[in-house]
Amino acid sequence: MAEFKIRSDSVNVEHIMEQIRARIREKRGVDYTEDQIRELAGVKLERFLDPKNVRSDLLEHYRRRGNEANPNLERSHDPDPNILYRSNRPMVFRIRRLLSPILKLFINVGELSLMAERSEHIAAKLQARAELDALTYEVLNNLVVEMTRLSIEVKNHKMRVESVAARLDFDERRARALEESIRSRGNKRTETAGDGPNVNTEDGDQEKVPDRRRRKRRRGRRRPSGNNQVEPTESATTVTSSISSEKQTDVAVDVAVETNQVTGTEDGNEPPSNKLSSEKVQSTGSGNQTDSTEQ
Amino acid sequence: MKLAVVVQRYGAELNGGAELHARYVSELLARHAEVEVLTTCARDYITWRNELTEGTEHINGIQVRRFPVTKERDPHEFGKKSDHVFNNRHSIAEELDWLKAEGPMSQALVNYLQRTGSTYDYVIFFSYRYFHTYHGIQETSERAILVPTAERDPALGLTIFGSTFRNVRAVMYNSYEERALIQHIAQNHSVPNVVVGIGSDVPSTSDANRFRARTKLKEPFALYVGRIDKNKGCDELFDYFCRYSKQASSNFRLVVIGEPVMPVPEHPQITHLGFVTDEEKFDAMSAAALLVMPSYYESLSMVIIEAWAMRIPVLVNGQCDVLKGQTIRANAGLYYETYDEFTETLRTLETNRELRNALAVNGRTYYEQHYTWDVIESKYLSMLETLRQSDHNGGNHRSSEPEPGWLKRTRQIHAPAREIVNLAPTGPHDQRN
Repeated sequence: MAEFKIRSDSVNVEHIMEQIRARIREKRGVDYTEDQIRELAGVKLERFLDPKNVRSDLLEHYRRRGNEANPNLERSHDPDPNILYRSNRPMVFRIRRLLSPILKLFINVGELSLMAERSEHIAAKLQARAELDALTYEVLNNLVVEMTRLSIEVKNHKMRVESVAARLDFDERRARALEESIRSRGNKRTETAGDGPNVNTEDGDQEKVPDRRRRKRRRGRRRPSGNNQVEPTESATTVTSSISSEKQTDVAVDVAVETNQVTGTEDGNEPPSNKLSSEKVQSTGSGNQTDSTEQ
Repeated sequence: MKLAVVVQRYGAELNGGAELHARYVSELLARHAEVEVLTTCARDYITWRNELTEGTEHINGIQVRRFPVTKERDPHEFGKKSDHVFNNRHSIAEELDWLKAEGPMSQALVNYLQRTGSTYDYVIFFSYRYFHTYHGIQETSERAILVPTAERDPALGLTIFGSTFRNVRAVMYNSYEERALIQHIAQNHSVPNVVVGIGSDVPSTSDANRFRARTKLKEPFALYVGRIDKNKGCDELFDYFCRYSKQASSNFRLVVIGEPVMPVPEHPQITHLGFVTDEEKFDAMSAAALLVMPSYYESLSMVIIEAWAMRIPVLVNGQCDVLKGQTIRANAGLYYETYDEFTETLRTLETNRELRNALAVNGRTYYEQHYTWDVIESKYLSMLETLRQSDHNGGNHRSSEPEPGWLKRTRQIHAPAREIVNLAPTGPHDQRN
């Protein structure tokens, strides 16, 4: 919390709380309350999106209803005058038909029939429109549901990215710190190399090496690459620099092992971040080694 | 001057908030006046069972007169009646039934006040919500002083207590938030009042090393002192702290002191020490990085004042107006309302020693200005002197509100108490006195 500039005589708790809340908002991205977040986390989308109610032939329904909703109201034929005399009782229908000439004296039966026919069409159109509206509502509802799902997923992904970025940042800083530590320890060992036991190099010269066993192991591991192998004909200076860089590698391994021991879980499984940092440290150590060998 | 202090329980071994408050104030005022404590024979605040001997005894030089409780509390009946008056439209008669069900119902104590109330210059009632306070104030309203110890709980919204707050000669509030809440609900602005609180004595010999040696705790820790109870927000505290320690990968610990009413979780970073002596408590405070107070309802937190006196900052539940207000006014701690805020504030206090020190300095200053016994004593004496002057000038002859008649008592016209309290303004209050 080094960002707070503290003066004991002018501490303002409310100001500090504002800073803390701003930081929380930054982390979250959106200023949801705790309850809102819990509610969001607890929402099951299936509550809105019921698969049983989603029609697989929605488009077909849509098209059909769309056509039904737009019936042709053009006057394609003469209206049927019988439409005015229709009745469930045939007797009544006949009497009306018999009396129709008298009725025609008073009103225009043809126009009346046309209007009756049109009203039937309009009723059918309204019904089709209502069904179309239901389909439209369904489509809109599905869109809203999908939007909600997507927005939650986006939010989750954002949080995940932030989390991964934070971990990555932490690992990088840790790797850098370990590199520094390796460098400083490597330098110390180089300075004190003269105190180690005498060993014969392959070209017959004697060198001081602190840990013979590790040196062999590391050499064996590097051989396939062929970059760091010391030729017997090389000068003593080259051999010294090679040994020095091997020491750095050993230190890198030690540090990595120590780190894992410290941060490892109880069941002995290594956390992913530690693995990553260990690998980084080793590879970094190798890189240094290669450089120094080349030098 | 002859004073009576009326409180529901009294004893050297009782640690309840209002009871301890009453004892401290009695002993403080005994240096200036003849003080007699009127209380019940109850020791247990759940049942109010008669456990102590009726009659007179002396505790720390104070005469204590005990009266028997007429009826023990039936928790089931009390719960039913509470649910009704808190959540439904109801009558005054039902509120009075609730008051009897709550207890401690000591008719003998009320009768004694009726008979001998006039022999005291002033009668100081502690806690507004009990049977003896309601009826006792009606018997002695012209000489009654009330220390409400009110929290934001539904009982405050009951109609009967409106007259309790209006009929007294003076009100000694514990905090500005408490005063604002009561004045909003009871409309008793005209009653003389002062925000006093309670003082605290801290030893000068507390030793952090002694605590660390005894408990073998080497890591920094947050301290909780008090009853370990859901009502005190402890379940939330444990939940938050467990999540925090997992998330922050910190070695910061939580040390808990007090009698457990709920189980303390088994967690490597939570240490429960149980009930400890005052010396051990203050040793723990001097070793702690901060004190945490998760309670939602407080009229005044004595332990926070002790923490400030011991120069440690506090982390309080911001949903409690009183705690939040105190912390802001003192500039001596942080507060949280959500888990995120808990995490950030705790991390801030854990990692920023400079901030902790600054808050601690402010806390100590605030304590010295407001909560030393000298300050408390002067506020009580000043109020008593004001009332005496007023009595000499004939100021105590105002008429108190009469008890409602039968028809008024039986009409189901009163809004649910919870609704009334919920309508009251929230948040920390300005420091105006």
